[in-house]
Amino acid sequence: MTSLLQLVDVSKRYARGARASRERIALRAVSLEVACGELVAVWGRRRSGRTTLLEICAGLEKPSTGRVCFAGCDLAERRVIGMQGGIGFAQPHFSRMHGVVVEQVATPLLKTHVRVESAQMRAYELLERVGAADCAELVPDELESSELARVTLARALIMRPRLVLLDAPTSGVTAPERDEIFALLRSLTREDDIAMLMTVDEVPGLASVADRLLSIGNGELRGETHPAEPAPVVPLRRAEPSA
Amino acid sequence: MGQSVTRSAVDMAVLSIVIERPGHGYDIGVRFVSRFHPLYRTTVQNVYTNLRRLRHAGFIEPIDLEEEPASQGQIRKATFRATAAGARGFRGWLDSPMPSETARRELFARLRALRPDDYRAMLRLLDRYEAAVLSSIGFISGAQPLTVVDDLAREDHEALIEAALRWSEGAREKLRAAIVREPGA
Repeated sequence: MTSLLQLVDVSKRYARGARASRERIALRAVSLEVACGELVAVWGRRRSGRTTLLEICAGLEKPSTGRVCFAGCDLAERRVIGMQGGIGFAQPHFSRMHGVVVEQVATPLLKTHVRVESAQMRAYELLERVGAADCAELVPDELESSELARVTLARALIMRPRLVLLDAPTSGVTAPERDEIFALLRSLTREDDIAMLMTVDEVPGLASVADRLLSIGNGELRGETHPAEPAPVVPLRRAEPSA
Repeated sequence: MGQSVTRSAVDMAVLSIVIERPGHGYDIGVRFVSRFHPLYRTTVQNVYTNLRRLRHAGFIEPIDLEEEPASQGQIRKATFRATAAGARGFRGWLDSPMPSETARRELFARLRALRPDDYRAMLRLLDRYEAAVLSSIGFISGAQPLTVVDDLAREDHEALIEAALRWSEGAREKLRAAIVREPGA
């Protein structure tokens, strides 16, 4: 499979408080590849670095060190990033926006000077596709968790991205709703060849959707294989004095 | 001496005891049972089989520590020590990927084979354990469950993966805290 997204030794530090000398490390030398049509799930708790990972992949945050490549180009050198650059980001703070759902889903398309009618037509189609057609005229605050997840996904898909980033899309939904959302994600990757990188805070249901499962904690990504990585030298145990 | 390589976790656990301090078979067996029980429910007598395999692989060798020759009718007890190949084999085992299906048992075998305060090596072992756990989702992904039992088995496997990941996070925090408490840290 062709690599679509590639992170090489990406680290991210944030200054803490007024003193720049105090810093929080959100990501530590993360390397990752996501192929076309692949769905990679990253399990992690809050403050594990999982959202920073997605923000860096989306180009919303710049890495402190390391490189992010999307479709063969360094993200730092791309003039157009985010949704207009082939990456859709299903962000969790969608519900804080104003306007009814169909308008919100269509918004990214309107920024590219597409006519309002055409943009909203596409938004309706996508809401239908993700099973949220009934939500089109609601305001985001009225949505239940599972509806919000579907609508957020529709918004991430509006620009026909090649890669979709999803931040804990099934957080707060019931198990049957979660399985339906996962089935939807699976069909999108299979039928539309969209790659997905998704953070999750629970494993159940993932076997039916994820091609690979990784984990993140303390800013370290685990489970990604690095064939060229030399094995660390583990020192031998020292002899203890005889009793 | 044969050079067939053994990578059995039990053999390597026995080897760790020999590396720690040379000894004769019974002494090694007693120390092994004391450290690895109940992870391995093997007896002191069974350890002789592991020692035989390790010797055949060239990982241990007998040495003569007795100054006095054995008296008539008495069998001289062989004392074993690890060879350079044994030390390499042991390191290779610690560094090798863990088999997903036995990852938890492997992890504890390797943790117990380490020096008890080698927290950094333990963190590296957790990396290998977590990699094994994460990759195990591949065994159940993709295929649609055919029966309710298939579905239950999948749910069980997913629950085990999640429990292992949560435990691993907590274990890392404890090990990192132990590193911070180390003198000179």
